[in-house]
Amino acid sequence: MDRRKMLALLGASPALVAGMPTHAETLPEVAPHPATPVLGGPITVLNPAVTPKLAERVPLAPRLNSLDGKTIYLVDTDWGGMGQNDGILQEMQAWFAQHMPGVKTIIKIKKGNFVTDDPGLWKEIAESKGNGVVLGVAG
Amino acid sequence: MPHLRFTFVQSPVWGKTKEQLQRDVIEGTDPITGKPVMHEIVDELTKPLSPEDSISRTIPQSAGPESFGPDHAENLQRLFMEKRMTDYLPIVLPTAERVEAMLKGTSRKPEEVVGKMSPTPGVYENWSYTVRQVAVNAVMAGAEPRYFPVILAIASIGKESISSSDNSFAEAVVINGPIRDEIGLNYHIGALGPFSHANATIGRTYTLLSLNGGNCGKVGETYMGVMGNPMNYANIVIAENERESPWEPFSVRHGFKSGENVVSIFEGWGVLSAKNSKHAVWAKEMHFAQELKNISNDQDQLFGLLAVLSPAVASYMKSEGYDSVEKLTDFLYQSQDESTPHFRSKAQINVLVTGSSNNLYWDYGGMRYVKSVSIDEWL
Repeated sequence: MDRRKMLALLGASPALVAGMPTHAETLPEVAPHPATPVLGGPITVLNPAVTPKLAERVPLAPRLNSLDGKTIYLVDTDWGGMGQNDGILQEMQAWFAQHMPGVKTIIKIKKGNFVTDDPGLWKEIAESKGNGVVLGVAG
Repeated sequence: MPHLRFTFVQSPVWGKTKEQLQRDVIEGTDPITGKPVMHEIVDELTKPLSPEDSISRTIPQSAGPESFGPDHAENLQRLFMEKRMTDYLPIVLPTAERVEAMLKGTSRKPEEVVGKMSPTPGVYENWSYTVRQVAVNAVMAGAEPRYFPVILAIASIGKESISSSDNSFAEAVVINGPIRDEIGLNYHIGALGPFSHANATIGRTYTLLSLNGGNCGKVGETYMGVMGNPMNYANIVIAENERESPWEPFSVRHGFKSGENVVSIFEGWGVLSAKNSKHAVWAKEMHFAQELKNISNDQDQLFGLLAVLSPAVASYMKSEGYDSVEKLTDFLYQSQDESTPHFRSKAQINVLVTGSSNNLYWDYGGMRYVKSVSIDEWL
């Protein structure tokens, strides 16, 4: 579509718009802050970071006595959603195979990306009776 | 969270060869604890829980006294910087009188809990904050009491404006409804720039609240952004130009009533001029919607598309046949060649209208929609 024609449809030319008063010029004046202290006099101010309490802390899952004979899931959070960053988990799996051959490891890539949940994967791990999870972000 | 069991590895991980991963990461040490990575992981899976690990309770936490002083203003300005309670720009010192005046901007009680926030949800414990604490930060940012309902609505969402992530994310605040005119938000020339007291101080309050109410921005502890982000100073405040937009306001498209005051949050990389893209052409014959589609298809898919159009460009798109944002979104989402669409869903594509019409510039960026809430509940 022709740009000049479209500007005409909008009812204004660039030159006309440029000559219009800006919105900022029509803004109401900023009100002064009340009770402005005398310059140089000592004053007391409030702490912006006082936090009376933190949210509830969630208990950790029970630990395993030993990893021998156990199944450990190695889960990539798939931060960027591209499914291309599980190399570190593959090397971790190789380490377990060499150093702790009694541990069965299964690599899984979470669906979505770092801001999405994957309840299907958590269900799958729980139903398969996985004994533990190493959840990692590779980036 | 302090009691969660983390192992840090030598970053970055991606971009390394198999041999580099084995040598630097798997056989390496945790850069924080100095322990061998794999031995630490095995320990974390098998080391018995402490009593502290096993219980669910609320953890008391204090960030110091309720007040500082009496002292001279210059010393207090320095104290706030040293305690990392500011953005390193001068603040309005939050005297009790100023905070009381700010509290008059809402009918809510000062000790009411507004929300909770952490530098990354699920990784750090949440800090909660009251109406009074939000007011202290609003005073520091230089805000006026009549802006306070907008600020409280933002605070109620609980989304941190400064994520701990090494990505250096930015946040955008979108404001719809008549309150835009009532408090003097700018949505004309320079809408995204520092040209309005309301835009500037509402955005700055969001940053200060994240520092002081959300435990964000402590470099090396709760902030790891590799490059940092200049948009973190006052965030991206976008009051929609509803009067000149050819489409329904963003808030109405998300289920709020026309005339309701609403604030919405976006998160992502930030926005920049579309003229940065090779697809932004200057030709006699234009197809603005196709130009937007070309640009969006070149973007990373993580956060989707946030297009911030000027009224002129939006009106062009309407004249091209897109008389609703839904119709435009359908066009942007469809693949051009029967292949899989570029984005995962239409919800990843968001369009806003603000700014002036004295030329055909507009902005875009990879930013995801987080949440919208009513401002009116905080009046």
